[in-house]
Amino acid sequence: MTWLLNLRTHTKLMLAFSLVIIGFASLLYLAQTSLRTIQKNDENLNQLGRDLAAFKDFRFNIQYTREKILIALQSKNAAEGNVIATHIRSIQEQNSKILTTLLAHAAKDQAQYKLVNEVTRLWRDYTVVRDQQVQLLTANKFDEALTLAMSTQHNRIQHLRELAYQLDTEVAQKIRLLVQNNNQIIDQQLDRALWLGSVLILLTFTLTIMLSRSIGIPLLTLTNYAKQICVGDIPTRFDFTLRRDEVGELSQAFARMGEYLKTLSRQAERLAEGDLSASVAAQSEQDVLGLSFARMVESLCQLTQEMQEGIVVIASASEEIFSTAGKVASSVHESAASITEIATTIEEVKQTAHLAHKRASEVNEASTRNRQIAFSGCDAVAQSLSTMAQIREQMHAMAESILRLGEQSQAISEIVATVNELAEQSNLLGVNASIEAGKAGDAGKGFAVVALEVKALAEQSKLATAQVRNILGDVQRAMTRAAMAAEQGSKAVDLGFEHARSSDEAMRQLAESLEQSSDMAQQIATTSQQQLAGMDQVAMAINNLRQTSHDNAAGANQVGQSTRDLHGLGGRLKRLASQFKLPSRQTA
Amino acid sequence: MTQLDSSLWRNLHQQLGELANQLAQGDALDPQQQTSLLQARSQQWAKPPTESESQSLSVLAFTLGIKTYGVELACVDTVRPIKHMTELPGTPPYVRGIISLNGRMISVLDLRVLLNLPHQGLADRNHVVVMRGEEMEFGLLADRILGVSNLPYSQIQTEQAGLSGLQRNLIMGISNQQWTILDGPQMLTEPALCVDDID
Repeated sequence: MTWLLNLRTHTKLMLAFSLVIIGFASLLYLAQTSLRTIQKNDENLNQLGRDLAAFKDFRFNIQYTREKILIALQSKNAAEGNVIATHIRSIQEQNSKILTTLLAHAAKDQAQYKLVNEVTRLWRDYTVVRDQQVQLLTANKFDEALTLAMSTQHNRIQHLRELAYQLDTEVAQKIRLLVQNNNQIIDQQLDRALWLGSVLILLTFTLTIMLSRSIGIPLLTLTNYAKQICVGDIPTRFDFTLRRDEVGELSQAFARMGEYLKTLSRQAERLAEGDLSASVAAQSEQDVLGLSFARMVESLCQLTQEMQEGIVVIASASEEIFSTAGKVASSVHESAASITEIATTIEEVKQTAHLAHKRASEVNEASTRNRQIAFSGCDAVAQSLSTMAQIREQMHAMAESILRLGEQSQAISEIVATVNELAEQSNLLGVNASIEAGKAGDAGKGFAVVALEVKALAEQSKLATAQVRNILGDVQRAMTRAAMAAEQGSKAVDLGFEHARSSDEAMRQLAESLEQSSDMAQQIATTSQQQLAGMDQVAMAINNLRQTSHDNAAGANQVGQSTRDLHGLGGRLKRLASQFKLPSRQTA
Repeated sequence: MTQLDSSLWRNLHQQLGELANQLAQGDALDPQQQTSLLQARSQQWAKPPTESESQSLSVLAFTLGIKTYGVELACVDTVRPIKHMTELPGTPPYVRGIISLNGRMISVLDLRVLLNLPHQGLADRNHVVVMRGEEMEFGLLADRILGVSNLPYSQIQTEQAGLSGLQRNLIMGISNQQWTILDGPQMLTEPALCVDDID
């Protein structure tokens, strides 16, 4: 299929149209052939119709003549014989011509020819007899003539009628065959026309699509590209075919043109950015655009180089001026700043001196107050020391009391033990007394009661001693706690006494040092007063100096502003010039 | 803190003052207290005896180990605390030792050994119950002497099941308080307990 695509466009078109034309020609030829056959059949039909009509005339003539003769015979009119003879002569030739023609026409058909021949022979025989009849009529021999008419002539007429019927049937058969043939041909032709027409329509449609796809659509794409290029929009990518026909070549040429235009536009963009280093080679001698582009680049290079040289001179000069002015301005500023700093510092020093003087006065007063407080503190500490000593003595007394209490509790405990022992013995005594009473019998009954009472008392005493022992235990535990508390209290008091004594010492030292610091604070207050007066004079002198340096700085600032503008201009010119990149051979 | 301290001291002073007052009054009881005590005592004496003499038994009650024993008062000579007891070798196990009582040597028997009871319970204080008959004199070891009391015979159950031999001879019955009532006269004539006659 590739070779088909690579064919030239006119060859493709010719090929396609010749295919269509051949189709139509064949359709036409077939139609013509069929029509000719139909035409021939029609002619035959026509002739047959004419022949039939002629034959009818022939039969009518015979019948008419016979009728005339029979009427004349019937009416026995002899005069009629001449009229009939004249009429016969007039139709005789016509009938003979008709029969000749029929014979000639029936030459192709054997059966027909035979029939016509038979008719001709019969007619000749008939005409001979008819002429005899007319002669008889004329000669008034009516009966003879009538006999002839009724026998011979009648048979012949009958025979002729049969022949005519056969001939009619034959011709009708032929006509039917011809019409049938015509119909068949027409149907055949209609089918053919339909099939061939469909095939042709399909072929035409296919060819149209193929042609539009191979020619129309690529041309449309190229047209779009051309329209885009017209409005300056160069497509970034061209769809082009490698076919070797006109469309392929056209699209390749378009792609090449697009590439060239893109190169040119890129070059122009670089020029716009100031890059003059690359040039575009002209595509041919006739490439006016390429040549003009190259010339433009060259002249731009020259112009730029000259401009750059001038700008470099301006820039260096302005830079020198700027740097010098900057140095002057900075030194003026520095001196002004230094003076300002000095002034500020002196102001600060003055403030500090004020503050110091104030603080010194305050310190003086505070130290005086402190001295008094320290003295009163010393007194308080001395008092607390004496109180502590008293507490210590009382604690000692309390410890001794607790000791005595313990000893007495011990004594009570011993007494209780003794009482318990006594109670036990009393109990036993009671029991023994009961025993003795029992032995005494009735005499000892009263004694037994006393003995029981003694025993009960002994048991009560035992219970009481047990209670006393319990209470003694509680008392002993409470005394232990009291002794521990007293011991801790005594220790705490000893410690407090020591602390009070050391704080007394510290308070004494504090009072002495406070006295010394109070003297010093007084001296400092006097000195700071003198310092304050000196600082005021220094501040005034520095303020004058600062005013003068401010004026200087303002002047230097104006100069600096002007030179900065100049320098900025030079720099900007230099930057602008440096945006143009010259080709290397020209910058060298 | 100071308030708390001051209230504490005030309470202390008050209590001490009350104590001093009490001590100054001496051991004398309250008149009211004394009256109630005297009334209780007179009521106790005024109570009529519940049982007649013939129907009750006077017993001396004492404890040894976990049990309480009673013995007929008529058989008891005296009750003494044991101050010193001498243990003798070669004696039966129920003889704990001998003591001296008014110049007489008396053997001390342990009921727990005689009655096959376990050595249990806290020993309060050692006493001896001296029993004396016409033939024999011996002491019974006791922890505490409870006293003399009258037990009606009806309260003493004399029918004992499961006792045999010596135990049947020694025990008279069990009282309502679960006391073991010893048969004193029987004990004083029991040949098994007669130590002196062995020599």
